[in-house]
Amino acid sequence: MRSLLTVLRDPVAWVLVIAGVVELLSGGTAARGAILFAGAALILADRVRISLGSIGAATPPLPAAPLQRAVASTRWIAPVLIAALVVPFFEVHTMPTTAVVGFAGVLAVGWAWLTEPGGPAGAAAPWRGLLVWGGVFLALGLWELRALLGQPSLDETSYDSPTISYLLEPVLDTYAGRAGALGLWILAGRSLIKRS
Amino acid sequence: MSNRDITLLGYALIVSVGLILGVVSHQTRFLARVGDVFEWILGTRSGRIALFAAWAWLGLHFLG
Repeated sequence: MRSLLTVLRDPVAWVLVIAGVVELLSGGTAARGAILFAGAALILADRVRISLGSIGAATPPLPAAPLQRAVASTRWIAPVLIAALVVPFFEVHTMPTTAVVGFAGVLAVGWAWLTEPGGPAGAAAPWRGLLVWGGVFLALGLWELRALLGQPSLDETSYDSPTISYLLEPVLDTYAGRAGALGLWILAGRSLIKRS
Repeated sequence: MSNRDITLLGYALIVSVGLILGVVSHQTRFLARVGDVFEWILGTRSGRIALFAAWAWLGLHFLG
């Protein structure tokens, strides 16, 4: 019972739960809320796995290296380029786009859960960097929340209190904007996998 | 100054600070690069899963 309570103490999981609740309250789709709740659930499941280490389930079952080698090679370029050029023919928030982005997202989160981090174990935390960069992202998040709360309602966008999503709408309404955004998102994911 | 102007100014200010810090972190050792911070987070089990969930959410939020 005591180890179960320890499992529930992970603050990262609760940040994801709160983000998921805000997402749903602000009119987000179930898929967007679900990916955040799934992340929280997997973190808690991971804690359970670690706490059960004494019966041989402490480490994730799969090696990270095969996917890391694949995204570092040129093999990934052709399929990703095709996806980045074909998917933007569809509007954002339509079934084909949601399916492709959601599929990639679920695969990536699952991969992160099923594999062991490759970095040096117990490396010293870059505290100053964590605080400063964390502060920048927190400020952006709080400013976005301020804009969200300034709307007539949480799920009704406003010209007077624009959120980042609202400001990006004209860009994402074009094929080039969608292709660029999808390309950047894919490259960010590739970078996360390579650095893991 | 309208609320829209203040909101846009806030975004511009935060992004500018981020860009300046990015330059500072590349030219000095005073501040870790944002990539190095992400790399450290990716070295922790919870942070790794959370970063990939945040990445997936960003894709679904803006595109999916």
